[in-house]
Amino acid sequence: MIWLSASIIFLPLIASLIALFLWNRNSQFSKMIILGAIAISAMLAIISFAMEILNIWDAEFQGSTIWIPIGLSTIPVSFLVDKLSTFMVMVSSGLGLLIGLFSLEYMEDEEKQLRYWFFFSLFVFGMNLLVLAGNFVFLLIGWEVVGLCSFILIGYWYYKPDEEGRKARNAGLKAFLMTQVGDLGLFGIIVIIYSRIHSLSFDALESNSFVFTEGESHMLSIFLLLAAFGKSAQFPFISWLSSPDSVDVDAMQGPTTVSALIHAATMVKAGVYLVSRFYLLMPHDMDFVAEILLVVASLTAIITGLSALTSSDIKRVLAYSTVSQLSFMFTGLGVAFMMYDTNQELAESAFLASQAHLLSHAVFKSLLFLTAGYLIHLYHSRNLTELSGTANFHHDKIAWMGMLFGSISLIGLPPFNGFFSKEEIVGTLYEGMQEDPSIVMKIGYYSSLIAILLTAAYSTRLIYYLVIRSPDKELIEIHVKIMQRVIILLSVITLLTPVVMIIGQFQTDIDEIMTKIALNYDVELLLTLSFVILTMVVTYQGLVHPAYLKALNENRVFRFGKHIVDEGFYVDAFWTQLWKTVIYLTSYGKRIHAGNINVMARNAILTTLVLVAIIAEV
Amino acid sequence: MEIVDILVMLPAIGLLGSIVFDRILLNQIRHQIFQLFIVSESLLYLGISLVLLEKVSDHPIQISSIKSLEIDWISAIFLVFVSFILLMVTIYSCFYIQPADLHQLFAMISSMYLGITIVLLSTNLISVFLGWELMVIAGYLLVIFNRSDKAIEAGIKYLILSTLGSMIMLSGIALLSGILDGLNYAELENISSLFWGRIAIGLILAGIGVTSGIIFLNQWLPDAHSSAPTPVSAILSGVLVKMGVYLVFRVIHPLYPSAKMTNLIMIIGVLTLTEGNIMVFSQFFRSDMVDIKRILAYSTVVHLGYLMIVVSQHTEIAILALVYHVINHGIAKTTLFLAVGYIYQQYHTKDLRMLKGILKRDYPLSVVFIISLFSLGGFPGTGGFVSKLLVLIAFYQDSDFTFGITIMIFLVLLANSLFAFVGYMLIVKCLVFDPNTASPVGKPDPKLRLPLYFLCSMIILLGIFPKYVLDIILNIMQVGV
Repeated sequence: MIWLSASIIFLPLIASLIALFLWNRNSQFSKMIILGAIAISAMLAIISFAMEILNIWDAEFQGSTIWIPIGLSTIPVSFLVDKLSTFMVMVSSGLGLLIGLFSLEYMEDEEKQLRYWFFFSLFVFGMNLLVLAGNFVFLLIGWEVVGLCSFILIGYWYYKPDEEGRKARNAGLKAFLMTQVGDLGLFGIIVIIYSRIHSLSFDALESNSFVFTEGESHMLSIFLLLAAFGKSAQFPFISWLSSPDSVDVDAMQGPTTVSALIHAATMVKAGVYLVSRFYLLMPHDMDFVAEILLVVASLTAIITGLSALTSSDIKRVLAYSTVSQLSFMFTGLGVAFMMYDTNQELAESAFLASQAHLLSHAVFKSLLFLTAGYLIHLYHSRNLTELSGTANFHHDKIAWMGMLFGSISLIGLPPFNGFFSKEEIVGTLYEGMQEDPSIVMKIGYYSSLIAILLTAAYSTRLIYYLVIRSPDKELIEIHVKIMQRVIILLSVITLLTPVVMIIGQFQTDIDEIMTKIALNYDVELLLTLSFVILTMVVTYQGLVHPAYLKALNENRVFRFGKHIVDEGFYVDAFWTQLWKTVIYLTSYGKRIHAGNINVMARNAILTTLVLVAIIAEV
Repeated sequence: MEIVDILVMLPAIGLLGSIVFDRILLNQIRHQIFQLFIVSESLLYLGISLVLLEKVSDHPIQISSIKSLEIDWISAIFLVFVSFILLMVTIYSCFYIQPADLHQLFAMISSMYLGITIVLLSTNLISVFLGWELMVIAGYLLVIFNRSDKAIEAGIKYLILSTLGSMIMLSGIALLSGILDGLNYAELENISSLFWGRIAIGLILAGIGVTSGIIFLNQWLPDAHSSAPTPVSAILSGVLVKMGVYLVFRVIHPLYPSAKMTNLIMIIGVLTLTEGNIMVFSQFFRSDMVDIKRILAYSTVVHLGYLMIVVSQHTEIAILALVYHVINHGIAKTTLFLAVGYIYQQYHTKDLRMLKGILKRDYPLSVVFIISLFSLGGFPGTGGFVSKLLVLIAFYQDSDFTFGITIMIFLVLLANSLFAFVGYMLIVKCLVFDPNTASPVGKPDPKLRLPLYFLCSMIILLGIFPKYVLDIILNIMQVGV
């Protein structure tokens, strides 16, 4: 079985290397090789997931070739195949395949496509390695590889002249370096775990999860949060994924297919995966993690929900929404950690809820992004008002379907997949709050509710602009068959995932989930749903009758609030200021090395005296 | 005559050969013969080192003719490393340096390698000092090789500071010789209980510190690295400064094997690497000149800091980390300096602001640059990643500080590694991604690229298959320790 997981991981890598050499002879064939490899990898992933849930194999750990020998304790090459990892690898390579197909037409007219396809395939390799890794070092390697690919692909248009190229370059670099801050966390985790248990494999951590001292588990928690928040763009790392309109240097500078795959469906989920992995390995005594997850993630959801409400760029709205949906997953995990010691059943269902949301978000967000990409491809604009009405039913049925299905799923209305996963998260939050009415749980629950309403509001805004308004543009007839089919396929999957979620990963049958939803959370569920619909209506009215908004704009407090929201709560400004401060402080460094030989000699002698004094204990 | 004797004689033969070629042979083919001579000599040096590496896995080898020289496991590993760098630099120099100058250059490099060989093989403080002086003086001649004003200024700085360092070291050795009967390493134990003994240790450490570039003693380093011709910068950064680290490992630890000394050297390392990072960063925002070689020189300071952290620990993993980091940093830095030399021949400038976007169309060279910078930054897939991981683990695992201080230092290290990575990415952005402004002036020999490709593939191999090299080091180490 080692060959199965190894081929899932390495086929895309091999394909990308082959493409590198074949590209100049036959670029079409190279693309086919890459897509073929990803397709095989996706197929194998689905097979292994199926085998995993049907319990056909139960060998969880595979492979133990030594990679880094360190005396007696070594770091092996190992893969971990369990439900979580096969599930994740199915998501990453499956969506990789669909989005790869979509890119065939989307990137058709671009120059220098080799870079795109090479790093696309390398990305799928990195993501598969990340989720199938059996120890932390390989997790880190996959983690960094996807970061690198994200950097290059965001900056894909770096060669364009003027502003466009500058933004692409800076955006790529910004994303890379800001996620590097988070990567330090993963380094920290590795070092602490290795020093204590002399092994980095997940199973060793699982069986030794009690050996850490209090200080160490605190540091582990901090590093874990740093790593996860950095990669998944939670506060304060939001601005690499989506920055305010006035700054416009963020991950959305890349091609839309890249945004769909890397910055919505897979890479940004790596943080969620890491925290989930930790939950499976050492779920106890992580109150600190739980509290931070609940508070920071749910507040992030509100911040980004508000920002999505004001942004005028279709991709940016989706990016902000991605961050807020990731926050939901983190909140669910926060409940899981919080409840593990008291109510394991609830913890389990909170964990599953956040995994379910991960899956449904991956599907509907890539649908939304691809539809947005389809519109951008046709009309060459990212502005909501310029795109207005382009997804109208009478105008373009494909775009209509993609936009509507995606948005409704994002809002969380039945029977789309978003409904099930989001309701489960809110349900567990509610139940958790009943059980442990601490302030943290309350913050988590109420902010999540607000964030859900915000989601409804900005999605309605998206629907209003794109779907409801009548088009002012002619439909452009371009031959984009594959793109359309991918959108249709993803729309169907959006409808079908609830079934997969229910009978697949979570091994409960439909009745049980339905009963649970119907009985356990009935009051809360109906309340939320009605509030969601109310919000949609209010938003719709507000958009249809702009007079309300104008009247609100007269209010100074509202204007002030709107300004802050427009600027993305100054998160980006914080980072800019930090960067400037660092440059300013380091500029003093020049004074240390002024190049004056007298100073040099004096320093040398002084240093010698100090050293001698310390060593001789004068 | 044993094979070890040949090893010691080889640099001397190289020196003599260079002088002879310079004086006697004057016809057309002499240049090619000379090239063949120096390349084969470097190859032989590497070959003998490899043979010795195989041999010392049983026991240390005494050199029959000279009593105070002996080769053991750590010196054998270092020998292989320095001779590998020498081979690469020699091949590169053959196509880089003007034919008329090559003799001089190789004569000086040979003298330096004579010094290095003696330092590596010595078992006695006096012979170490002699080798050290030879190495440092040859280094001075190499720094001023271009004879430009800047080079001479840098050379003078280097000479003054290094001489100061040597004098400090010599006074320490003199003190020890007054206390003890002999200066063999074996006789130096227990000296740290004496007050004057500790003073001597401090003086020797400071003397070594000048060459190994510890904080406030490293001010010669950026000037020298940036003014020297490219192959020399590669040797200075890849080999010469590592000798200081080697001596700290070899001499200081046995002299004063205590937790206090370990902690002191660790703190020196942390300070040094922080200083280096700040300096790297401040270079980018200078108004006069953003000298890429200077940035790389400060990056050497950073990595010396990493080495200082692990050199004092003497645990198995620390030694492993030390050796692997020496190898990785040496290879990556050599690659970078050599690649910068190639660019210098193309554009006749080292100013990063004049070199914007020049690698945009030169894919292979940009890959070389990115991979070696990533290796310095510790990015997975390159050798630097493995050694950074080992260094961090070694530091954290066996730190003698309290938990709080350990975590503080660890966080400083992590922050520094991020800081360094930002610096390297700024170089990448400037050279590869920014809009192209410069156009090439010269046309360097395309053969110069061969060593670059080779070194670059070494970086990748060291990163993806660390097992093979680490296994060799581990095996030989278990015999030695």
